[in-house]
Formats: sequence, C-alpha cells, structure tokens
Amino acid sequence: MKDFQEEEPFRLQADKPKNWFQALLQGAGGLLARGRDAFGKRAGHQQTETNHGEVNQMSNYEGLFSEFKGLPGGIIQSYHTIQKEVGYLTEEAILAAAKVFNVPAKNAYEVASFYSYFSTKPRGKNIIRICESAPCHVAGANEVIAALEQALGIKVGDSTSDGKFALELTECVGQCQDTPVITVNGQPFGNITADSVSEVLAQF
Amino acid sequence: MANLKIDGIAVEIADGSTILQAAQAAGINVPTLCYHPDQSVKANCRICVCEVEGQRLLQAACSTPVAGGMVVKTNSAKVLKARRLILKLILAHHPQDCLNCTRNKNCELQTLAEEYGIRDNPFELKLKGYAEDNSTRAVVRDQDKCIVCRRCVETCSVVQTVNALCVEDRGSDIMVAPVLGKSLAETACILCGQCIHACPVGAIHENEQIDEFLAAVADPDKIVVTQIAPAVRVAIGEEVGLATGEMPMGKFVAGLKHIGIDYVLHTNFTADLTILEEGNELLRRVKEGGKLPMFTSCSPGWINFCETFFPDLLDNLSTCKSPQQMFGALVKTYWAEKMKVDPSKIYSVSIMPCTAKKGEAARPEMSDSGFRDVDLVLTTREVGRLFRMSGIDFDKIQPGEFDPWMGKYTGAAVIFGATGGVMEAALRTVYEVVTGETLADVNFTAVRGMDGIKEATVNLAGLEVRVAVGHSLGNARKLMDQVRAGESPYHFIEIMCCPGGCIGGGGQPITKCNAKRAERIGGIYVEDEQCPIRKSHENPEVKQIYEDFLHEPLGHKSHQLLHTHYAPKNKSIL
Amino acid sequence: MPQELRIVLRNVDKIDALKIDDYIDANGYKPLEKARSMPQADLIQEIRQSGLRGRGGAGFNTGQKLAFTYSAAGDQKYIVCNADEGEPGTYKDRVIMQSDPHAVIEGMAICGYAVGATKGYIYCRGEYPYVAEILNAAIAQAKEKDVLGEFDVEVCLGAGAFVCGEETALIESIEGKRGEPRCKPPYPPVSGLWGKPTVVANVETLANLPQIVDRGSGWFAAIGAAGYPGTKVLTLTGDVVNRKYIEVPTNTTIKEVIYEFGGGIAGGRKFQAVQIGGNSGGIIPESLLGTQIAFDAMAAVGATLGSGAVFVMDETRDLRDVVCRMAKFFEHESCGKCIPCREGTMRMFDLCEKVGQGKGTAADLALLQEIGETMAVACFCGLGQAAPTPVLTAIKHFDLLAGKGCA
Repeated sequence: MKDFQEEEPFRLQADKPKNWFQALLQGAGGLLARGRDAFGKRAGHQQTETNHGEVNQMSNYEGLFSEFKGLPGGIIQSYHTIQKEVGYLTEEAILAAAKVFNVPAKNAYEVASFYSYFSTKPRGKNIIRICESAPCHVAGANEVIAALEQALGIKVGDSTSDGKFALELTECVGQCQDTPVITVNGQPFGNITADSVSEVLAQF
Repeated sequence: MANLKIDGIAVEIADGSTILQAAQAAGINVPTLCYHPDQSVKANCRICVCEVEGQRLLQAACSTPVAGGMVVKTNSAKVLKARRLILKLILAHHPQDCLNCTRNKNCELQTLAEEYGIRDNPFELKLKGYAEDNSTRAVVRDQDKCIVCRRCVETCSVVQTVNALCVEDRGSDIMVAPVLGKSLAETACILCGQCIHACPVGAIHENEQIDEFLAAVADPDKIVVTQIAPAVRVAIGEEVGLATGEMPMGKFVAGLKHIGIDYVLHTNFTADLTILEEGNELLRRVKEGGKLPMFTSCSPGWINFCETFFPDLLDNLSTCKSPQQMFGALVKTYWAEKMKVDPSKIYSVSIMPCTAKKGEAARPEMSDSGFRDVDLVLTTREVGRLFRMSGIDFDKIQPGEFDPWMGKYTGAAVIFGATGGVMEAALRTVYEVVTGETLADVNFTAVRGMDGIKEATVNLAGLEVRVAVGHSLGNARKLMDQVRAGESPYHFIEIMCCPGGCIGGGGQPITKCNAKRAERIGGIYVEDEQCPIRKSHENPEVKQIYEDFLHEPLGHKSHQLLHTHYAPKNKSIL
Repeated sequence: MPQELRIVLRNVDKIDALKIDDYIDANGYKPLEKARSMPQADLIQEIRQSGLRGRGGAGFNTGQKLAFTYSAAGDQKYIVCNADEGEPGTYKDRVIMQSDPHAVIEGMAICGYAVGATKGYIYCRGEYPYVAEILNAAIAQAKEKDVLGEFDVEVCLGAGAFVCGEETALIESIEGKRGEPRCKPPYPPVSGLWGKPTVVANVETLANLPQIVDRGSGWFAAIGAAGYPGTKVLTLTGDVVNRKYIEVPTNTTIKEVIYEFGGGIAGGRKFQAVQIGGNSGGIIPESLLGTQIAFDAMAAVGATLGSGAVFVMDETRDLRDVVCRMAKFFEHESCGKCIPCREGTMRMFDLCEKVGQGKGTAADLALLQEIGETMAVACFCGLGQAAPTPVLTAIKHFDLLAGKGCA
C-alpha cells in the first residue's frame, strides 16, 4: 500500500520558489497576484457569495498550491496563503491541496482542522484575535473582549455581517510586555483598553 | 535477547519487543484499547500504562521497548489508580446504553469497566448528542460512542486505502469522522465494514435488519428463501458459542429452518456457476484479445473501490455478477419455475459475511429477474443474533438438508470464502476445460494463505497463464496501479476486498486480528477436502441448469441474468 | 544589587538585526569558523563540558544531544530550531530572533557542523509572521555573504498549536501534518525529521552556542548555578512594576528577579504568588522566593523553570479565577491524541470553573488532585504531563476554596 507520509512532494527540491515567504507576508508579489486574479472579485471575503462549485476555481487553487509543492510542510504554508486570500479554507482548496501534494483528502483535511489559525468555515476578512492567556487575562482581557463584541456587534467566534471582521480568541501571542494584547491579521496591538478598541478597528 | 522482570516473573524476550509482548509471554494480561495486533502502535489510550523501576512516568506497555534488567510492575497501586481514572474519564464521555448496543457483551470498554470494577463515576456524563450516520445502506456510525482510538481510521486508510474516515479537529473537540464533515455516503466509503472489526466499542456497526427479517417470516404470503455464502459456516459457530469452524452444515441448515426460513439453498451453487461463466469469459478474452488482465467481480466492496478509485479500469472487471446476485436473479426465475411457485411471493434473503452485500443488493440494476433479485441481506452476526434469540442448542438439533435445484455445491465453491479461493476454483475448471485432462492434484497452494499478494503461473496446454491474488484493498491498489501503468504481467487477478477474503468480511463475528482470519481459512480448506466433488464443472445441479435453462456459459440467458456492467462513481472526495 | 549578564541578548540595542555586517563586526560568525576548525568530536565535547542545557523547558544537556545525533547513522541529518515558544507570558525567543537572528542561525550552523547536518529548519510559531520575515532576511544575507558554507536554513511558519512546541509534534508539523507528538523512543537524534537523525533545540539554547565556542566551555560552566550553568532570559509579566525581559545568571533567586529587576509589586500591593515557566509552570508562594531560577533548584521545590516566564500575582488577584484560566488554556491546547490529556484537561477546566465560581468543595479539589496526579504520569507527552502543574501547585500552596486573598 501507499505510504502517504513518504510521498515525494514533502521532500526538498532545489527549485522551490524563493519569494514565497515575502509574498505570503506582504500580500503582494507574484504568488498572491496570481491568487487574486484567480479569485476574481475575491468572492471568498463575502461569505454569502463564496462560490464553491466552480471547476476553474479548483484548478486555480491547484496552480497556486503547486508553487509550494517542493517545500517542507508545503501544505501548511499553502494554507496560510489561501487563508490570506479567501479568509478560510474552502472545501475546494482542501481538495486541491490534496491533489497537488498527492495525499488523500483525508490527510489534507486532518491538517486543516488541526491548527487554530486555520478555519474551514467562512469568516470575516480581518481576523481579530484577543489573547486570553493568564497575563492578558489579569490585565483586563475580558473587558477588551466585551468592548470588541460591542463595537462589532458580534460575539466571539462570529463575523460581522458585512464580512469585514471576524472575532476570535487566541492563546498567548508573545507580546506580554504590553498586556492585554490583540492582533489583527497577525499584527499585534498592545496595551489595549476598552476605549482604544475603536481606534484599532478604525485602521481596517 | 533481553532479560527482564515483570511482576516478579523473569522473562527472556527478543530485543525490540515491547513490555506488552513481554507481559503476554509471562502470562500477564495488560489491558489495551487503542492497541491492535495488526496495526501500528498508537499508545493514545494510555490504559496499558505500567510502572518501570527508576522511571517517574508510567510507561505505555504497547509502545515501550524492553531493556535488559528492566523491572516492570503491571498492577501496582499507582498503575491501577491511573487505569481506573482513565476508564472513568472515558466512560463519562460514552453513552451508558450498553444494554441497547450492538456490542453488548462484546465490547472492549465494557469488559474493562467490569474488570476494573468501575461502580460510580465522579464525572458528569457529557455527550455531544450526535445523530447516527445511517447514510449508507450497510455501515452505521454512532459518533457519541467513539473513543477516538483511531483503529478504524488506520484500517480505512492503511489496510483499505479508502480514506473515508479521518481524525478531525483537536483537543476535547477531536473526533473520528467521515472526511470534510460529510456523511459516510458522501465519502469514498466502499462499505467493507472493516472499521466495524477495528472498533473496540459499538461506534460502528452494520445496518441491522433483523426486524425486516422477522416481519418476512411472519408474513404467510411470503415464501422465504435463503442463500448462505461460502464464508459463513466457518464463522457462524463463533456467534453461538462453538469454536471456529465447528458448525456442521446440516445443523446450520436446521437452525435456519428453525428461525422460520422456508427453503434453504446455497450461494455455493452460484459460486460454482460463477466459475463456469467467469472461466469461459477469461478464455474468451484470451482467445479474442479482450481486456486483460481480467479482475474477479465477486466482492462488492472491491467493485465499489474499483468504481471509485479506478474507473478507468472498469472494463477489466469480469462482467459476472457476484454469486449473491446470480443467485438472486435465478431464484426468482429458474428456481421458481422448477418449484412451480409464484416468483412475486418469493422473499429472497441472503446470509453474508459482508456489509457491502447490503449495498450491492440495493443497486438499482440488480433486478433482472423482474423483481428485486435479493430482498434482504443479513450478516453472519445478525444470523447469530437470530439463532440466540431463538434459543437453538446446536449440540442437540438434528441436521437438516438443503432444498433442491440450487443447494448442491463442490469444494471449489467452498473455497470462495478464502482469499485465493476463486482463483483456485477457476484454475481447477479452466485447466480441465482447456487441456481436456484430469488434474492430478486439485490443490493450487501457491494462491492460498494470508500473504497480501500471491502469484502463480499455470501451463494450460502450452499457454502460460499468469495469475495474481490480492486481498484487502491496499494490496488491490498495488495491483491496480501496476495495471494502470501498463506494467501488469498478469492475465487474471482475483481481488477480495477484506483481509483474508470473505472469511474476514465486515459482517463476520467481530474479528480483531488476522490470526483469527487464518484460523477460519483453515476451516475452509478442511471443508473443501471433505467435499466429494471439488471442481465446479462437475456440480450436477450446475450441469442441470445449463441443460434445462441457461443452455451454455455466456449464452443469451446468462447474459440477461448473470452478467452486468459497472459505472464510474465520480466521487470528488478521494 | 544583582546585575544582568547578557550572553544571548548581548547584541540587543547594539546592532541592527537586519545588517549582517553589524553582527560580523560584533565577532559574529567567527565562532562558526572556529568550530569548523575543530574535529567534530572535540566540538561536541566542548559543548558538553560547558554544561549547557536546553532552554526550552526540558533541560537536556545540549552536548549530549549533539553526541547522540553525531553517532546516529544517517545519510542526511537535520538541525531544527524550536521557535514555537507558546508558553503564556513568554516572549524571550521573539526578542532574541528579532534583535539578533544571526546568533540563532550561527548556533544552528555550529550544530550542523558538529553532527554532520547540512540542512536546518527554524519552526517559527504562526503568531510571529513578522519574526519569520526577519529570519528569512537574515538567512538571505548569510547566504549572500556565504558565511554558512554548505549549511542551509529554512523557515517554517506554524499555524497556531501550542503542542507543536513538543519536539516530535513540531517535526510532524514541519512535515506538513497534524502537530501530534510521536511515540518516543525513537528520539529525534535517532529518528526525527523524515525519519532522519535530528537535533531539535530551542532558540535561546542555540543562541548560546557561538559564545560558548568563542569563549570556551570553562567560561560558560562557571556562570550561574553549577548544574544548570549560564544565564536565563526571563520575561516579567503580571503585577510587577517593570514588565520587561532580563537575562540573568541562573543562580539568581526568584526574589531578586521580582524585587530587584522587576521593581517589586505594582501599586505598592503585596505579593501573593508567582508562576514561573509559563502556563505549565508551578504556582509559587512567598515562602519559596529564595529559590534559584535554575532547572534543578526549581524542580526540587516542585516547580519548573520552563520557558522562563515570570508571572506575578498580587494580593488582590483571585487565584481561583487565574487557575481556571490556566486550566482552560490546556483544554484548548491539548492536541486530543491521548485520553488522559484530552479528557483530563477538559474535566480539570470544568472543576476549576466550579471552584472559580466559589462553588467548589473539598471533594472537587480531591478529584482535581486525582486527575492531575494521573495526568502527570500517564499522559502521552510533556504537554499533558505538565498541564496539571498550576492546579496541583495551587492546591498545595494555597487555600483555593477560600477565595480572594487566600494566600
């Protein structure tokens, strides 16, 4: 039988893309530019319009993912990219990843469902995470959560109806000199108070 | 070799062995849940933890290698305390409805709860309240009962390479579930039911249809006719307290009559018929340049697999229906004619070692008799339950006899139940048909046994025929990949979906390990040896049906009733 | 007054992290050259003699780890930098990587030479994409300057899973799988990444190596506590005046850390408790503040040094609420693979919630203790084994049923 864990795609290849990481971080550059074309109107960001069934979308995912094929743990890195583009991991994206990385859909899905930074459900474009680990907790994270919920009009775990924000809890993000801390799309904001919440939101 | 002490008992065991193996050698039973003798070590249930002198942490017996001088305690107070707490934690997350469970009295968790005297549980019962997944006609999942040992996942992904089940999410939300949050029917599940055997509890079971059966036998307008698959007899004894293989066929027949079946016939009859049809099909393909290698088509799990994963190779499948469906098509035509009964009144029940047969019987195309060819499929386990329900004492019951026209069979049909059996039966007949000579020895032992892939070359009057036998779909996949790549050296390939063949089918008595499968295979060959006729083409009732009804193999009637075609499943989640 | 001693933080605020020439001017990459002039066995022996032990929490002798990997057979070997720091209140690895990424890369290259590995991976936690960017820039510079020779380094970005700090879970994640721990043995030095001999070492550990090679094992071994020599980077959080990071010799006491470096308790309030080592660490009462922040000294009092997080709680904190929060952390971060951790963390959180609401009973505490004691010895990996520590130590040192100001 096949030993999927030993499949070639996970092995190192000399010709891997060198710019993938910058592309991933900056939301610009070759990879994501292709991704943006691929998704047209960026339908994924408006959850109600997310179109799952299109075959051409599937093949575009495959094109995007194949850039990561030779990278170690490429499937995880490719999921980061997709999430940046679409906001979450669509079923088509997971199936496309399975195809590109030559693993069963099972493996691709198991990975997608494991990590807390990946979501297999639609969610808002800008992901706000509030740290609730002990140092932030004693520094007033609960008040910040309440303020965020009020400002956004949603509960933790939900997204705003305009698809602009998703509100999630997280554990420590390693900015504990400035508790309590929130992150928006990975960018940390420290010493947040109930009053400063709106200032941060206004930036997005 | 390593010398160690387990509970004070000196044990000498090969290096690389585990504490669990050493304990077994010392005659000490260390409890397990996630451990499976034929699978990779998971060490995730932690029930087998033991104390090792000099180590602060308890060590999982299943995963810890022995070392010379090791001193192990398997039942110290510390160990028992940990095991009991772990059991309480599991039980507080598990339905407490053992009385209603298909695995009542045959559940590894229930056994441990009893052995460890779990009386009260300080933890509040927490169930997520999932609905049962009965989306397939064969296999039912009860998510709430799952203890996430992952044995079924390994069976599905590694043994069968179907990958319908996965481990989803993490932490206390973790679950074993069909891939991508789908129902089982939406996945690539091929209904083999091997996950049922892997499950230590009752989280997966067959779609139980005992009520339908009881209603049928109680209906005076129905003539209940049954067929028994070749692999059932060697295993049914296990369901009623007999040793493996210890059920004489006559008593089995008597038991079936006792539970209300009007006529007892045998799938072995159509197994012999299959050899005539399939053997001739092979010869025709070889002579006329048809698609080769030809694959056997008896195993419905394998058919589902081929339709799902190898749709491009469907033309390589023999067009023969499985013996169950040949039987179904004939019982409401040929047999009804012979017995002068109204076919619309016949209620055709098959007794199968298989869960996928439930799905096969329900295929829309399986109605060539003008009726539903097979009305109901019961697994060996369900029949065992019916026997227990009816209180039959198999020591005392008088043997019964098969009813006429479709009840006679040969040793060649009997061995259909074991991996390699269809191939051997085919070789016995094809050899004699092609060469016109009588086989000096009918035993083709090269294709027997538990090796995953077996091969042989047979000289048929100057023609070298290369054959291969694969059982379990992981092995099938290897053979198919070869065919797809155009590198297959074979003319004829037998595939059985389940490890060991049908004797290890998903509907058989719960079978934890391959050793049990091997034992059942032993029973199959004993029965073959005892058969007065051991070649399909010598079955008198088979000769009769060709004379009276079918006229010739691959003829018009055969084409109508005994052959079929399969179509790609077009599944997206593979 | 005790002073900081900066070894791994020596370049902080002194060089531009993104200018390799700054690092080279500060004697950077010369230790690597020196290491490469030594026979591998001698280099490993030197590192072993320094007494350097892992700074990630497990405290394994680094030279020993290198020796195992060196002697393991394998056509390919790997160096993996564990940059998945996730213990709440810990950000020392981030500071090191942000301010002196080349020290980490050089440490990896030294390990690579020592064991015969030509490939390294930095597994950077998903919460630090901006750190990964710095690391990638630094790697690119090092390659351009050709200071690494044959040794190649790549960065993998995690995706939010505390358990990936466990070395085998981390390896699984690099391989693109679920971050679940593997059975040990075999240990990574024998069979790690893609089944090859692998050194997995923490950021801080690796950043120490160039200095040890440069100044010699004797120099390092003489610093701090004898059994755990060197320094430790600590991050001070909670109710302490100076919420900052420091690097101090390992014979510094907790009291000195809180009162000398941390400036004491904020707002003039009284000390109640301190948790050291992150969420997996023990909760320590005032009576144990004389303990040194060294691995064995901490273990001797039933606490852990762990990641070096120092989380201070003043007298006004409701310890029940804080402990409950810590229990929730593990319920969320358990990978769910093994039953005692999956079910145990969930039940501990339930019980802590009850206790936190003031509804707890002595029986609840006894049950918490029973679960905790079993988890500590029966869980599959270090996460589950350490998960009950805050609860168990809180029960041991404080009256959890009493509520506020219960110390």
